[in-house]
Amino acid sequence: MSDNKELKQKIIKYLEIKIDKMFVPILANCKIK
Amino acid sequence: MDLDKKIEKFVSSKTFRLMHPSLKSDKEFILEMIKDKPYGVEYVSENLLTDDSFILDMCKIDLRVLSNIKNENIVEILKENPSFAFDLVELNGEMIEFFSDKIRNDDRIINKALVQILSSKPNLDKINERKLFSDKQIATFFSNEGRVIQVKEKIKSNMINSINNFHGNKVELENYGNEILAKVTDSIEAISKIQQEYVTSAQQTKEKNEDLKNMIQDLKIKIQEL
Repeated sequence: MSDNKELKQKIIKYLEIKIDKMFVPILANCKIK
Repeated sequence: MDLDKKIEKFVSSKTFRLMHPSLKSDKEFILEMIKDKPYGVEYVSENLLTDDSFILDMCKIDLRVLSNIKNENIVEILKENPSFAFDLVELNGEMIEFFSDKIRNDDRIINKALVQILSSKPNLDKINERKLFSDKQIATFFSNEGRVIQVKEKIKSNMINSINNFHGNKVELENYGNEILAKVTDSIEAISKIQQEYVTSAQQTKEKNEDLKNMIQDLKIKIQEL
């Protein structure tokens, strides 16, 4: 179980970084007037 | 159909109408009842139906409860209730459709609804197929960095909850992580596509306005020369 807990944290960290990266161009486009 | 099922069908078709008045006002009982049968809300006491926080509790169990309230007065009051709208669109942004025009034009509620839809709907291409929002409302939403960050954070928290609640071995967990990544990627790509459409149309409008401005300027000069 503790292995899974660690693995879950690793997956979460990995996905968080992926999501942040994918949002970079979207956030850069937030300039519609 | 076997006898048990026939009996069950008979009982459920009669249960609500024959329900004892005390049960019609019993919150705990009602919440349990609508788990299987959201249409049973028709028989809930009027007194309970005037409590919007209780209606919200029922909606958390099954959103179909709302379309099964037959008392028109209660429905009309709910349609004008901004705090109920604010809480309901957090459950499902598309529920904004239920409310009056005044509520549907409330920026605070529009933004809350869009954050919910954008952070949870994998197929965003059809986000505005039902014309729940005007082009201007979506364009305004995407012009605000803070709101887009809210969507990002909501996607992240949904993802964290899903992973933390997953039960399975190491291999299953890794596969689940990949599944989530695929869904999240689809979702974010769709957000980007929608945003791009509005950025492009906003730029075109801006260019058209510039052209018009220049045309008027030229005309003014020509008139002065006449």
